[in-house]
Amino acid sequence: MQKSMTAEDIVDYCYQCGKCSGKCPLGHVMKSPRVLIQEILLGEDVANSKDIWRCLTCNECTVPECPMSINFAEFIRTVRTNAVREGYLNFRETHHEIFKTATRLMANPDITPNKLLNWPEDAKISKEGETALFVGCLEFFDNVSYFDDMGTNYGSISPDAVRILNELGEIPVVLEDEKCCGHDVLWSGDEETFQKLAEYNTVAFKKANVKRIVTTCAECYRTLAIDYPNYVPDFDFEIIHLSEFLAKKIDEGQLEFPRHFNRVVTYHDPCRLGRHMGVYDAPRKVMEHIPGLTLQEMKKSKEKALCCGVSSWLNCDDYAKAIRVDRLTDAQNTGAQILVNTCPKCEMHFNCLKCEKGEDKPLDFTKIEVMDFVTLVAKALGF
Amino acid sequence: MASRLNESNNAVLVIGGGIAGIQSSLDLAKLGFKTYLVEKRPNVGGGMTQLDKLYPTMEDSLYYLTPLFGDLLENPNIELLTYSEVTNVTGSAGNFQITILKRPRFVEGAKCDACDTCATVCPMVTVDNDFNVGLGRRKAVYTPFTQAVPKTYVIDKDICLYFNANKMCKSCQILCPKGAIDFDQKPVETQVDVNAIIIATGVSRHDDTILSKFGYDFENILTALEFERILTPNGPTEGQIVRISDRQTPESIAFITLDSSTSQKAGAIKQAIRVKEKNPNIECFVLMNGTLENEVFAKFIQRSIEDGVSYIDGSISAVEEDPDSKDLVIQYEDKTKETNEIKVNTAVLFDKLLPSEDMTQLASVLGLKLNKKGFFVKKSKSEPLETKNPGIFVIGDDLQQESIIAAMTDVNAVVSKIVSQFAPPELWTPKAFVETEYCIGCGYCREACPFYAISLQVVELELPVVEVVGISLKTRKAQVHESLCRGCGICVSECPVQAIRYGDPETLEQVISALTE
Repeated sequence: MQKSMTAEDIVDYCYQCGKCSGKCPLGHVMKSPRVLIQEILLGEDVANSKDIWRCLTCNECTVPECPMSINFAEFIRTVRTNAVREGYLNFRETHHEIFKTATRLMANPDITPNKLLNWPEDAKISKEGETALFVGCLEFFDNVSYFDDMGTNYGSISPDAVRILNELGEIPVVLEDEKCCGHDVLWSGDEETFQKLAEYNTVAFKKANVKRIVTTCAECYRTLAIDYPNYVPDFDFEIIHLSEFLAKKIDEGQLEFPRHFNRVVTYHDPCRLGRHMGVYDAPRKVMEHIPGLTLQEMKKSKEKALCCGVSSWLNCDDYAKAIRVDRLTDAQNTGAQILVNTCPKCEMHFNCLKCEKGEDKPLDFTKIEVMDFVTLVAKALGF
Repeated sequence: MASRLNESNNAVLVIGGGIAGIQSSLDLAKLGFKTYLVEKRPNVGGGMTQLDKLYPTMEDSLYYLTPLFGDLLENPNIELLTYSEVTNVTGSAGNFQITILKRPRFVEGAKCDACDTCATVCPMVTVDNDFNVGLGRRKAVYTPFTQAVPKTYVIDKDICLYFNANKMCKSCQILCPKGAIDFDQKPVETQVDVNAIIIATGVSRHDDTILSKFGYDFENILTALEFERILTPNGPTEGQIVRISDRQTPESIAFITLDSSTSQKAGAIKQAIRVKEKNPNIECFVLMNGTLENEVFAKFIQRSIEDGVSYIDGSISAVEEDPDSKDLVIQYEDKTKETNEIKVNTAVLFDKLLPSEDMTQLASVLGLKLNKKGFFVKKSKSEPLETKNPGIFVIGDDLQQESIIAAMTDVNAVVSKIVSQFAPPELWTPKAFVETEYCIGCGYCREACPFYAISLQVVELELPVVEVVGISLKTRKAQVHESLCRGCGICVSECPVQAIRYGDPETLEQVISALTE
């Protein structure tokens, strides 16, 4: 998608078939994609609407439903950017906006984060080289301990990814002063902050002579692969998700799992990795390669996978919870012990539902563990 | 303040319909609290109704009580639950759920006009009248005394022939002019929600070991309450002073205080004055350790001396009975540690009363502990009315008990405690409130609240269900109990979806609109 394309350009192709409306997880409670597009086509101003913020940008309406392949998520992003420019902020932040505040702070050129403060020594990293690992906000989630009571361990994901890469003979670059990818501010319409972050990160990676960036997070992957080139013209790195990297190594016969890892797992396709980037098979291939591991597919998987309910820290409410309940019920019904996903936010949201406080909670999802893909592979490798 | 409180849903449960319970119900009801007054006996008034006169004013106890009974019946905020017991309590301060079991009276309150026909015709006169402390007898259908509130009669199921002899006797039902007798009444369970519980069960039990040590087994030695009944015009002897063994007027009476509490001494002096009023020829001895050093009672003692009451300064050591005359020989140690004795016709013992044995059950229902003597264990010396369970208060059980003055002091204290805890002036703390549409029921706020002011209500969401059709989403919604919220704001910082906010919603809206403009 070109940056120059306006919302009107994107939706010009729509012929109002309504396939998207039937697919939208929130189609019952907000204006469906078709209606929003129709309003734009009829020249109405949607910037003041709450529904543009309610959209999960999961792209379920686009892939594989839309016959004209209109990228509705992209359309919403453009509309949101316009709305913010016009000063309409009809959304409700969650978590007191702390994560976006942190991102905005990071965008300040005078502030440089120190991401290697708690880095374990056995995960070998270099300062310069061809391959880099993009850590993103994971370290930050862990350091502020905001989610430690949910049983997540975000701090171990990046070191584990480095250990896996080390196992394959790669010593990746991990930048000490790398900043957030800016995904959440971008999808909240804050182009300005995003631009700053993108430019900063591009320069930082260029300085380290990086040619290829590996990501563990689905959102970082999408942002680096699609949005960075749109905002920073000289962003010419090869972006690859860790699962794709591992799948390639398996094809080359370089990655073998030494021992059995007897678990039943199911895989949740995050919207950003799946429908946005089209990566469905690589994580599955890696998991199927693990001896002893059984992969059970959910009713709704791959293109049809349901969203986790909230995107970019906006509008968490009953509807978001209902979606999560549906998704975890689906996952639990497969009989899997572990729900694997590649997006830390999905993990966080599922864990939030699992960790409802009190004895009297009406829903019980304690049977299933939510785990990041990297953690699973690291466990299978015996780290 | 009263009008503001009237709008709120504050409610209080008062257990025990004695003078402390009645007065606290009236005070709280006046302040707008919905008050549930639960009494085990068929009538309210408690031990005070059994008294003749009150010291030091020598006022008739019923003269004092009857206007209170009237207020009790008229106040719309008071729900009077006599012949009832608390059977279950759940929840915590600010949000107790109470189950009250109302035992059947077998007489319909709305119809009964207390004409006494049923009691006149009832053939069963076998039971010691507990109102007269075993000195008289009563029928199976009865009212404890004429002015009892509520006035409705009650049938004692344990002795009534209808229940115990195969429905043999229905005399009262046949003869009742109003048709008020209903043998088919069943126990009724009521559920009420209250903010706080006041235990005002008072004291009624004697310590038997102490009584028998000082000769209570002898016929002519009575407890204070028994003698009080004898003095009272509506008592078993209709106010005639007699001794139990021969039903003759005694020539001398000893009033013996077993320890040096004010209430016992004052009670003894009061009874001595009453005896002198009724019959100046009876010799009265008041045996007490030291004198009553209290300014309030100075005139009272002066009056007793003028009436001819003799004081003996000493402490009782033993009581013996003359087997022929049934007279009592009381041995005491005077100030000089010499043992003396006096011989009297009858004697009255003033002992410490203890809470009734039913308290064990009540304590287990309320989750409280009793000490060795059967009193509820209090929280601390600085909070003498509070129990270890927040929101449950105990009044009128001070060791100086039996004193109505002490009970009234407790009532005033507990009323101010409850008003300040559960209906504090609106302005002094901002309260947290939940925006229900955003609450996802995760429960973090409830975990975080240091005052247990947040509870979660399970609700069925009528959402257009998103994907897997057929799942109805049961979720929870946080609820802030305003009476418990202290406005600390911890919940606000815990909420992941910013559904809990803090302060006055209208003011917040104004601030937000002012900032965004």
